Amino acid sequence: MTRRRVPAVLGAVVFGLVASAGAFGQSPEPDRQPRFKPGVFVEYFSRTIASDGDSAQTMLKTGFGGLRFETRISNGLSFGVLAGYGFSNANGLVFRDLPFSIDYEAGAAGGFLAGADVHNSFIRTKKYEIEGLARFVAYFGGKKQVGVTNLNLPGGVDARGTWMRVQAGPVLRYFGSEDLSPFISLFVDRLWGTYTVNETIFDLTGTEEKKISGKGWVRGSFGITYSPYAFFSLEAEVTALPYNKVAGGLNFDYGGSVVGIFSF
Amino acid sequence: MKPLKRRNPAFGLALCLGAALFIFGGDPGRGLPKPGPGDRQFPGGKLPAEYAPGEVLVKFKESAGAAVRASILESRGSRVVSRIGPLDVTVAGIKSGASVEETAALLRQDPTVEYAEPNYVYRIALTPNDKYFEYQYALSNRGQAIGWAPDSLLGTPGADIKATAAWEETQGKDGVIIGIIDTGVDLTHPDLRNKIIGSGRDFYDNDFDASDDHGHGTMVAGVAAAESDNDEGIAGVAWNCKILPVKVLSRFGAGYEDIIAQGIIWAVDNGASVLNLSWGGPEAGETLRLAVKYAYDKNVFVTAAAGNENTAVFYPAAFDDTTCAVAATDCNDQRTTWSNFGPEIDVAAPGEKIVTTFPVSLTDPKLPPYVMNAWGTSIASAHVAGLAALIKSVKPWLKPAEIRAIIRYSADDVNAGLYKGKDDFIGYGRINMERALVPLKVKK
Repeated sequence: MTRRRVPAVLGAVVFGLVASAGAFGQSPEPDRQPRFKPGVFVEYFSRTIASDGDSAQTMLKTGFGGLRFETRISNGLSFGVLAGYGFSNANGLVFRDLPFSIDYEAGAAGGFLAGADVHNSFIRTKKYEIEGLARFVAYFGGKKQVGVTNLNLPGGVDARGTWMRVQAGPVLRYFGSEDLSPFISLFVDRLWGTYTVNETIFDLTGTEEKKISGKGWVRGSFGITYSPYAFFSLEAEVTALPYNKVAGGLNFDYGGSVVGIFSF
Repeated sequence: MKPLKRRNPAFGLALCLGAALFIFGGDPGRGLPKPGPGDRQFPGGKLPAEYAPGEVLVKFKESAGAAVRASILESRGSRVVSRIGPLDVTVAGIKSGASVEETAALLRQDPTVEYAEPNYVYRIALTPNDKYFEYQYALSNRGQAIGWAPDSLLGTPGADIKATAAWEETQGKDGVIIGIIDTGVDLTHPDLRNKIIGSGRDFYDNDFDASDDHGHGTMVAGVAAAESDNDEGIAGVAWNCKILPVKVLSRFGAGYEDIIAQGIIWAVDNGASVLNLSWGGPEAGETLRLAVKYAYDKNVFVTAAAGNENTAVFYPAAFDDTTCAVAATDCNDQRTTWSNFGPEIDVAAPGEKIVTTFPVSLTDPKLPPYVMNAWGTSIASAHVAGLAALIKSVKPWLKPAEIRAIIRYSADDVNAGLYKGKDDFIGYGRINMERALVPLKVKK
């Protein structure tokens, strides 16, 4: 599948989730679902990223947190938005198209995040629910300036990274316990981004823009939602994403998140 | 609305986090590779791993007892492969399928762990197998004897242009051509014949056979781009770049300005992207200036020898706008006493007692075959020509001024004790191929 097709496919998945709400989204307790769900979240993920085609790879380590607001649109269908701040670290990216090649090891840069998600409950029984979820997050990193000190003349680089992540897939939730509901999910998970570095060494200048993409396509997760009160629940999730190593064989990237959700 | 529940929220939180830990921790011991004779393979090949697969090195704090150590490793799905007793470091095998970096990171989080790291691979820098490479202190100075005579001087370790580290990044591309505008080049030399494009051009005799009847052109050609890692002769700076021989100087080592100018223009028009001009004189010939500018305007990098008279910089090296002027240093990173000086000097490179190629037909049978020790800023300039060709190989879009800036700014200011910064004797310093070519680590 080409890169250009991926957003289209994911878009189709999202559209499918929304459009199928009426067909499948028959919750047995529609009136008892809360209308608004504000919340707070923190998430961390490490993602192996490829650049320069697939010839170089490093790890994007990102931690972020923020606010999330979800609203129920109709039975089983809800829409959420999120905004926050985070730190993304792409240490190990090598920029060879600058006058002086650099191996960027300057650590994490802060940046803003924004995103949206849509959930649609396909099937809900007393003990199980299968819902579809599509989620989009974009990170807009701030400019990070670092000096280059090991040359004859003063200079430095400034770097800025942006990326977006799209996830979509089914979630199977179990309501076996009164206030604990474990769930598993299997998502298509794609990440693309751009890191731009400007280099200035005295009178020598150059700019390089490097496209990055997350390795691996599908991630699985396991999580638990704990609902001690009707108006508050806590959800923790860990994820694992397999990808093919350059040298062959599989490796895994991991992540995790905790979300506190208020319901009204 | 659901009724309030009485369960302690901390209990739920613990369960959530417990679920998370279950995924990260996994089943201790499950999926571990079985140790065996073929378990550890020595890293080799063209692109070996940066660290041993499936292993981490762990050093626990002294306070951690054996039981605690075993428990921590087990909780991460790891096992002891071996121990480095005197260092109290454990070589731990990791769970099958787990990432080395992640496992090390997880172990580092434990308060009883002093450090945990991948089992990194270290290797010797790329060293060619050429017979006389050991004498090429200019490329790699380990304090070895400079020359094959029993009473040879010893060099200063590190007083070199850091070639071996740079060759890890690039050995050049054969599409990059170095024009050797000189006395010609020995077209049959075993260390050069595969590097030469055609038979060159002889403007002195006006034919297409740029054979060397003097030796100087063959010497600078070898320094810049002798065939390397071929079990023979010497290593050139630009292993894979090609040589375009252009004979403009007679067998006495001199040539007229008009012939030289024609040679420069021909080399530019026939694909050279770097020109080495290892000759000069005190007069600033306008035709020569125009010829060099012709090259510069066609994005051809021009390097030239400063001269060996301990006087003002010779031309064409002194054409400051278009040419990189090169002074000479020795095996101790000292400027040679005879190297010309002046504000036009851009950089320096080794130029004293440099082992290089010499025409087969002119070699003294009592000396090692086809090689010669050479002195002069000619040789220094040839080092810079090789470096420029390597830069051009990896960044073909760079203009001559940018290549010159890279060579200048990456140089080692080896006389900073006397003249900090750019000076008239070695310019910005002795060239440093590693800094010019290998990605610079940029850290906060």
